[in-house]
Amino acid sequence: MVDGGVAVVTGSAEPGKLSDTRVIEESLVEPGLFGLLYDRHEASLYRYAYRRAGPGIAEDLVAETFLVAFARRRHFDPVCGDARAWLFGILTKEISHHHRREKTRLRAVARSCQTEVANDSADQALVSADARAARGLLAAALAKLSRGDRDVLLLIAWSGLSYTEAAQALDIAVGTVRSRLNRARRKVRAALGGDDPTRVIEESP
Amino acid sequence: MNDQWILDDLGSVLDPPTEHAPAEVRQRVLAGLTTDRSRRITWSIQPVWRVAAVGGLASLVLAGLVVISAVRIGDHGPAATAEAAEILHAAADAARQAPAGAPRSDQFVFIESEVWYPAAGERSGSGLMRSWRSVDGTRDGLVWTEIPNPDGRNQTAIPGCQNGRAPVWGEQGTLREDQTRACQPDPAYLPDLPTTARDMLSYLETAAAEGQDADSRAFAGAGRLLITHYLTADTRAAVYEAVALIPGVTAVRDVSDAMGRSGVAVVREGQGVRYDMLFDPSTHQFLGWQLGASADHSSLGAQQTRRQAILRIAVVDAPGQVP
Repeated sequence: MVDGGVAVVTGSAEPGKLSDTRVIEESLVEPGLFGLLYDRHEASLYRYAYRRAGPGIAEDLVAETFLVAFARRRHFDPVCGDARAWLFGILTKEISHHHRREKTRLRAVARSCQTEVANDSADQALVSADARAARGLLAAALAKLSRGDRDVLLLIAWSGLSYTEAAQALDIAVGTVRSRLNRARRKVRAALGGDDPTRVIEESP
Repeated sequence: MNDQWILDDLGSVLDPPTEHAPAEVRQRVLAGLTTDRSRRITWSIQPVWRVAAVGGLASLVLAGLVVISAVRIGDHGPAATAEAAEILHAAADAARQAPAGAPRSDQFVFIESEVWYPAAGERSGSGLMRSWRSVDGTRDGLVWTEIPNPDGRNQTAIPGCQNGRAPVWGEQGTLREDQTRACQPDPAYLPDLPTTARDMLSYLETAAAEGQDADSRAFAGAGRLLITHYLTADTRAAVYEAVALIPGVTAVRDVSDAMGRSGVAVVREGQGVRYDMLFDPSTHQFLGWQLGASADHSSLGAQQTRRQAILRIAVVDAPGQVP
């Protein structure tokens, strides 16, 4: 546990180049400083929240994540991971309140990818019909994953957290991250291409 | 791993139309940062840290303030107003006349201040704080507060950072010998700071964190230097003169500091936050630094969130030594 009291007097050697940890410590005294953390991490959290929960909810999720983080900043422990993992952990909890909405969103993507393969010209230049179909299969597969497996898979694939960081974010063991990830990937591959998981992708340009 | 490719592809389909969340989200978060939902904050300030009742205390603090409009100076855009610049140049002149040489690296910077927090609960007011920080950041320092923490403790060690490692805190605000963490030295004195206004301004702008505009960074950085570091006479003067070059800096008369001393303030508002740099109107000495939500921050109204009056800054040989 960081003893926030010391932040009262430990100014920065360079006033602005504060590490996230220092920003959090010093925000115990100057709450407004926590805004720096927002500016540093908002874009990646927003993108992740939007991908998972969609418009209208992602904005609330991001705001709530930072406000929860702010309220809990005294308990932030840099030994247990960096601020980014901590924030993604809070965001994941917030997203979990909207898991039905997420599933609906994924199923909608799955449906649209199956029905619109032939008539999306802009997209076709970039993505082959096969890959487009794979996208739909993936969305459907993600919707069927357990929440825990989906959290791990998407945290690692979409937020760029390492296994260790994902473990810190979700407050689970790294071994659990590995086993959930393996299970999630196995299911996704099965949905995408059966025994040959790379078939769909390698057929695309 | 090829499923990463297809996951990226799906992700790009689900991406938001814009890179950033709408500005309202940022405003909502920043507004939330001026009220503290975590009751227990930090041992040194917890008893008095409460949210100011909107309008009540804030309006008292801000009552009767006159803000002077900006004027253009030279080719550098609208710098500080003439009145703000006058306050800052007088402070710089006074700073140059006060003897303040460089400390030795094995000494400690002693800062005595009165820290005030908004109060809406059972406790209110302010408390004395004394800190002893290592000049070069490698030695263990100390912070003492008049108001004890919930455990009845008044002081806590500040771990020095030696060879990239610092001891961690134990239960009673002491340092553990058996456990260290990674660290960077946090010197209370920076020997290589610029001594001219222009160079100091560049330093304050570039040394500051990302995410705010350069002017806000420079102003906030100046305030932080003033309340947390020991500055030599010419460096202190350079800080004041650098602030005079920052656009949007205005003067506000009749502001009181955390000790109740009346002063003149050099003020900058931006992004929902207002910073005040206070000076004694007759001696031109730096009195303190305070911040709050700016008046134009609609959802909350003007609100002071922290005020720190600097009473003494000195160099001593050991932590705990009072000059």
